[in-house]
Amino acid sequence: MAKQYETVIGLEVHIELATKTKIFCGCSTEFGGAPNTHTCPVCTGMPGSLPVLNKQVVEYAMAIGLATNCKITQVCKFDRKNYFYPDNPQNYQISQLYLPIARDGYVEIESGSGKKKVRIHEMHMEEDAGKLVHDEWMILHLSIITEAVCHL
Amino acid sequence: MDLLKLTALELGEKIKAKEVTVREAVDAVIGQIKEAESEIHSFVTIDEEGAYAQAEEIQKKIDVGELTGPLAGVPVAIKDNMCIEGQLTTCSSKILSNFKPTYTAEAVENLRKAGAVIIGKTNMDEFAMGSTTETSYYGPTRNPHNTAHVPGGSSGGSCAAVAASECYYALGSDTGGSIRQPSSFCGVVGLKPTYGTVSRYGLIAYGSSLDQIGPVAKDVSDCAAILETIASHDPKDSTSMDRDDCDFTEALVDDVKGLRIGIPRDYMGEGLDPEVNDAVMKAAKVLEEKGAIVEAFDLRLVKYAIPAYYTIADAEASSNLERFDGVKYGYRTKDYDGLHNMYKKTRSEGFGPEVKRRIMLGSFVLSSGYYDAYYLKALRTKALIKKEFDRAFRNYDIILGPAAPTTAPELGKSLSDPMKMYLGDIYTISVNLAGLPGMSVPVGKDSKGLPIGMQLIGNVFEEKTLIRAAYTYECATKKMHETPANVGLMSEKEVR
Repeated sequence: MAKQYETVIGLEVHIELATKTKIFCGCSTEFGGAPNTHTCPVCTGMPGSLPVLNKQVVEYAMAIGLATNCKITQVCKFDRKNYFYPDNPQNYQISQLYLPIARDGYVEIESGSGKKKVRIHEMHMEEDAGKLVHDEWMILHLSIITEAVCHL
Repeated sequence: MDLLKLTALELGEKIKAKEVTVREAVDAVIGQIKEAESEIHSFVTIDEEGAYAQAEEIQKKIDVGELTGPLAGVPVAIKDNMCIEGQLTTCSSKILSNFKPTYTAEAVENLRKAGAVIIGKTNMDEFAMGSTTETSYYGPTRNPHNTAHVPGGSSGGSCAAVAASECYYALGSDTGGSIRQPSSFCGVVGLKPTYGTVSRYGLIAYGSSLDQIGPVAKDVSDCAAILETIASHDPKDSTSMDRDDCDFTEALVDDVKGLRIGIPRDYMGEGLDPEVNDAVMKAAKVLEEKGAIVEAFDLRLVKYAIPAYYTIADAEASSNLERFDGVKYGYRTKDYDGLHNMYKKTRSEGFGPEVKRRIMLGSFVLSSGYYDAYYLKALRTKALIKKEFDRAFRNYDIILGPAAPTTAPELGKSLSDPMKMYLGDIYTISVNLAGLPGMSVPVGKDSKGLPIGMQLIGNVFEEKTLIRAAYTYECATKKMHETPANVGLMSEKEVR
């Protein structure tokens, strides 16, 4: 029985990037403003509004990608993840499924048995699901997904 | 002077010359709306009070020389899928029947800056899904040339309003022919610009990769002036182009010498009404006599445009329309049991049958297992169609054909057979798939007195070539001023 199962763990790490404005509009990301001062038609998902990508997000994402030895995708795009839930006023999350910003990297960690490489499968940019406080919607984050290699 | 007979530019000139006040212009259209609206039903919202308030403000600005543009003081109607802050914007749907946006669409903002008087919001097929304006929650619009017939769609309200002189011009939107086909049916000039020419910010999305806002006008000169006003580079729309050739009125030149015009054999064959065929070929002859080189050629792939279009447009629509869930704005069902039941009941009660059909088709083609088989295949077809147009434009400056296979059908004859209605879009939708500019120009009437439209298609960014050809045709025939006349209604009352 002893060696029949082996625990293998992969991580999905969400990183909130320290940009001044949200990922798809010019609203401030600062916490604690007066109600409805950090919102606009875009981040409240109003009909007819359109997302415009924050350049700083792409630059930060590439920097993290390079720091973690990833390949940076030269032509990348966003995709919609469609689901009905009120953490998101459009009922879809703008994310990256097919061509994420960075791929195939690794980070080195110290473990009991010396240095260990944790391989990174991909890193994609996406809008954060809201906390059901409308002000919080569309803070951006970077999602880092490791390969399932964290043997414990 | 009968103000209603004037074009938008003629009226603008008279306002500038102080021969007509802005208030008198508003009086004229409001009077006409009161005459015609009970029969035509072009509008969802008529903002009489707001129009007079705008008139006063705009008149002041004209008087002090702050507003000098050609459209200052001229009344306009806006399709009800473009947001105007604080004004009902319904998309002719129950689900948005109480929706007042918090902001104004960029194209409408551009008109405002030019001194346009916005008199109301026009009826449309629900969420622009339809070809007759019959899928509107508010009931159908009727064709001013014969009220037993539809005005076309989805911008049927805008085109009927211009044809019935209820406004001097209007904005429409075109995802698969929604400006060009109703313009053809109503005998007005309509233009769908190159994708990216007019900002989509504030246009409630149907098929985002295909949608474009464009003008609906009484003649070619108006059409060029309106497009010049609404076209702009908008940083709020990532697909907006920064063009430096938006001086479209410069193309109002009566000359097509040497212009190469190709007529696709695939557009002139089976399914085309012989009267439409004759009128379009006659119009081509007019351009040939003015010095254009006209010949027939093959554009074979266009037959795949309809399945590709309905796959792509419905896929995008199914996602775009997800936000209408009754949570933050719009209609919400009365009784419900929990969140998901509220969503379900709200959407079941709030959307009409055509919208539901397209949401279901779109969700299906995007669902896992079918995405590659349908959606990706449609995208590849779209790319091939674009390539075929690229090839055609190596040989021709303009592709000429009909805007629709028939003239306007009778009310109630189209919705029972959606396949047939979809096939009616055959000549217009490939233009959206390829992102090209297309224009519908009136070229006469059939034996029942219903208008026929010729479609001119240009290469990307070649609106000026279309405008030049359309203007030359207009100069040669002098027909344009008569065609928008609301014959049935107005000849009786001798308004025109």
